[in-house]
Amino acid sequence: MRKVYVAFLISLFLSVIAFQRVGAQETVEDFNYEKAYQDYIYTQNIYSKNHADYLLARGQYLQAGTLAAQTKARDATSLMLQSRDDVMTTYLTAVRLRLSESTGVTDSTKEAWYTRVDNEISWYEDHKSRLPSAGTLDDLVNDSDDAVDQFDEITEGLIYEGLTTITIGKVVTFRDQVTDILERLKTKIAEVKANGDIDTTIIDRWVLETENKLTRSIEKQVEAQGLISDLQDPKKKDKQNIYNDAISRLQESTQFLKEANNFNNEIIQRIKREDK
Amino acid sequence: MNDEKPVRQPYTPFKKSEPVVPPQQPNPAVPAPAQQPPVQQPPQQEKKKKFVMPRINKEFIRAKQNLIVGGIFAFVFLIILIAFLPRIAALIRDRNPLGTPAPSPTEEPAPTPSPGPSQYADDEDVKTMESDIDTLSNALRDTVIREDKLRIPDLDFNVSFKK
Repeated sequence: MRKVYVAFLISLFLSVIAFQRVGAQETVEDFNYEKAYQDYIYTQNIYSKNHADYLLARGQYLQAGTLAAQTKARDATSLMLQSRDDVMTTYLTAVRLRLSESTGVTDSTKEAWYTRVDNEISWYEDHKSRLPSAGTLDDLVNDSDDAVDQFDEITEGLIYEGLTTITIGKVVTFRDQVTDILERLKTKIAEVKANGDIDTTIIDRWVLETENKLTRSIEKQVEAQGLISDLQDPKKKDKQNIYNDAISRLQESTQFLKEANNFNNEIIQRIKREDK
Repeated sequence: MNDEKPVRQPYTPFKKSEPVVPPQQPNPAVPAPAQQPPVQQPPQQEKKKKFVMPRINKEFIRAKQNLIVGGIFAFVFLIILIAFLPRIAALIRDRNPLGTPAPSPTEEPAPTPSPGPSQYADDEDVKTMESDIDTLSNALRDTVIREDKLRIPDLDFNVSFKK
């Protein structure tokens, strides 16, 4: 009887541990892109308020020049800089989760980007932790400048690279679907040709036209991918323009996919019609 | 000069003739009045019964004739007008090029017989592919490939306390 009690207690203990693990796992899995995005919006609102306080304190300090105004300006600046780092951290986390939920991107590409973005998140967290120890306004200005340099040299390019990769993933996913339908069509056309039911001369030509559209789509995507190396280059300053250029090429790539899909539809309609 | 205008008489189709008075006969029912001594009268001529023709108003007849002839002319004119109305309308239309031309009947091309469905119209593979193409077409149309929600936040990086 005593053994039964011991066994019961042990199984109860293991069950509790198991439930806790499942609960913890669910919490991690629940933190998705939508929640990360809400966190980002929340911290952005806090930043907006702190930034308004900073502008007011700065104005009063520049006008009065008193020690009290200086102290108030330092506190307000410190808070603003901390919330600015929070915005950057939550924003990078949101982009990270958006990429993790994206299809059409290889795991190796994702992992390589995660490593770099995690380093960035760590940098801003570390930067934030240093801010309260800043003694003077000049220290805070120097801390702010450090973040500016970090953003210009690494963070901005990394963000645009991540956003471009997400868009490339969408284009790849669409192209995979168009290609899949085309391959199934080719199988059906081979069947039709073997039966000799329909003259497939025109259909074969249409298939070639569709494949040409897919090739053009790939070319545009490769052009966009080529621009990613420019985004990683710290010497390239106007990263937003590079990003816009990449997105423009990906939009052209998508347009070719739309045309290829329409061609697929025409081929289907041709197969469905009686040969005259 | 005589300025007095003759007074116009009211128009009457026939002039009234004097009524014919029949000769009075003695009524046997009525007692005859007391006999008077007969008065010597001259011998009466026996009056003959005459039929008086009504007098015809020539003006009235002329007016009637004019009315009938005019009516006939008007009727003939109306018939001619109706007969020539399309030609007149065409003439007016030709002279007025800004007018909207009447739609001329166009010869519609004979409908070409559309080919009927092939034996693959009800093929399951074909139907599935068609459905997949439609779904993909909608996705391609609705998806925004640019990540507009994740634009880089607009942060103040210009922290300075210099006047």
